[in-house]
Amino acid sequence: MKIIISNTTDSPLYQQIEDQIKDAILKGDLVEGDPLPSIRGFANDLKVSVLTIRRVYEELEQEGFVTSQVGIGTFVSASNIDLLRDSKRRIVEQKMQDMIQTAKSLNITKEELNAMMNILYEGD
Amino acid sequence: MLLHLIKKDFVIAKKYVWLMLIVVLLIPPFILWRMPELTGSISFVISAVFAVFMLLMYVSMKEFQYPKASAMLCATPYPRSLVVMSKYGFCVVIFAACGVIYWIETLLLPKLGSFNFGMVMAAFVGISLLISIYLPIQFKVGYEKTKFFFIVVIMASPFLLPQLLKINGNPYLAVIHSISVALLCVMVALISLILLAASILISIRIYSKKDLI
Amino acid sequence: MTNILEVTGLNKSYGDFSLSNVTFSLPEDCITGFIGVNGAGKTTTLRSILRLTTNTSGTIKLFGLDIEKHESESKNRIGVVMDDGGFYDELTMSEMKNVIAPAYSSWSEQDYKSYMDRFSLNPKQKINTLSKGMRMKYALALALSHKAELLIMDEPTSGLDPLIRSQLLTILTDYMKEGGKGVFFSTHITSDLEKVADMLIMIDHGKIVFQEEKDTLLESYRVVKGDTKDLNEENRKLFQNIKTTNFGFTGVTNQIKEVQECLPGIVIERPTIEDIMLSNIEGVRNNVASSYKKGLCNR
Repeated sequence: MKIIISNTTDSPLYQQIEDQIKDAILKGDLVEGDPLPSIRGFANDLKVSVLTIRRVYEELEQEGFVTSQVGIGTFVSASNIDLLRDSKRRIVEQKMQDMIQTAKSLNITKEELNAMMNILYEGD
Repeated sequence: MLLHLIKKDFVIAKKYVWLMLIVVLLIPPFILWRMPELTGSISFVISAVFAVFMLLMYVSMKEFQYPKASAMLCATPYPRSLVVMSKYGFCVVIFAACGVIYWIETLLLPKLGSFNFGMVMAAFVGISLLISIYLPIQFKVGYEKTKFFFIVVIMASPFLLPQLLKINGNPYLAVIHSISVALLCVMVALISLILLAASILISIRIYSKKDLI
Repeated sequence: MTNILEVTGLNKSYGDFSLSNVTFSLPEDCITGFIGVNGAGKTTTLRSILRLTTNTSGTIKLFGLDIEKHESESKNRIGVVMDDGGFYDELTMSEMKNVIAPAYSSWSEQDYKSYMDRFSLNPKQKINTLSKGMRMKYALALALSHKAELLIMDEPTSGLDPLIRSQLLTILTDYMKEGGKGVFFSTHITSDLEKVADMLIMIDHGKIVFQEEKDTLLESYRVVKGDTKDLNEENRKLFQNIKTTNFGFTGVTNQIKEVQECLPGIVIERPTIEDIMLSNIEGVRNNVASSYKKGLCNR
């Protein structure tokens, strides 16, 4: 799993870590049953506070991405497929938003955009 | 725990403990040789006073030199009351050791006279009195302000003590002589213990209220 | 999450200095940094916790038990590393250990030996021949050899080179791995805390200034650099402190959004713990407007 924290963005640390773990789960880098690192070990490696990691794990658990067992650890629990699917859709939507914004700033019309997408989609 | 604290003082004063042992060993024969009129239990009293106060002075000086060590001790589970009692215990152990050494010497060198238990008890009372007065004061104001006490006691004892014992014509002594030695010893022991106990309680109270660095 | 230590309403007067209503708590499984400049009250607070000072009002609870009523029991669970050790320097390490060890009911000779080996310390060596770094390691060896659950350290790294400081931090993180433990680390060398602290408590002039998670704290402040010309009486209030030179100003703020609205063309950086600490010291801090009203920027 790759987690890279940026000190220069405005996004809070815990948000960055949480998002990157979610990405890893959604992309399939982490699958059901995979253990997440221990809170203390993870905190040390990322040089963040244990309290931050604890919050990340708590929120991930609340949103159904992981389950934790006291004394044993925290594990990926991708049991909520719909949730996953929605989240995956969200990634695509996000990218489309970016694409649309860039297109607009370059004065590319919706028709041109659709045409470009058709070509690229078929090309795969 | 108390024994460990007493042992600590002996470890701190390591070098001087050995020195004192030798001094205590040598004082009676020395007096026998140079001042034969003073031979007898008086030499024990002088050596006991010397040993107790020189070692107590040295340990007090070291404690004063390393105040953070006393603070550290009190940061451990050692109760402050035990730290206080260990100072008294230290003195008592030294005294007992002097007594034993003197007793052995009297067995080996009959010229020193017989082991006068009464005199030992008298010394015990005297030293207890001095310690009982001094230690609470030291706990209150510290070693630095009170060290002259040691110097006075150590310097004066060889001169004062013989004077004190020359009061053989004293009528009070006659009374004391008439009481049996055993009873006398018991009374003396009791007085010493009461003095020490009172002093310990006062010292504990003083030390418990003290801010440590 | 339980608190290992809870300090409530600690007050202590010393002539011209006093602790006022010091209140904070140390959460379990956290390394808590206690920061403040020299004379701020860090050592006094630690001494109060260790019952070295008297006439302090307030309560201190260790694992839920009042320290005053359970003094020996509490001290058994605390490992102490004082600034400069607190040893009789003429003793050997082994002799000093024999003074301290019997005080603790859970003393482990095995742990002691393994720490001494790990730190390459020879027990027969006299304490006054040790370098500062070795003294600190020895103090740690003693503090960690009686199954302590809370490690209290008073300026353990002052005067130590970066290598030893880094080694100390590793030892602390190892200590925390078992869980159920805590470290209370008082220091004015805040760079050490950047790496290992989870929680930060700042004290100044005898009063607690803040208690915050380290990451949250670092995220709520920003260092701002910009043109001095853009500063006016109103927007100066948004900063904790400002330094100006002929070439611009540098300020620390915890209201970055408002600052961004008011000041154009500024450079924004994340602060260090030291930046935050310095900007919170009384006398340096401006009067910060706690509630921002719209229209404060006059442009």
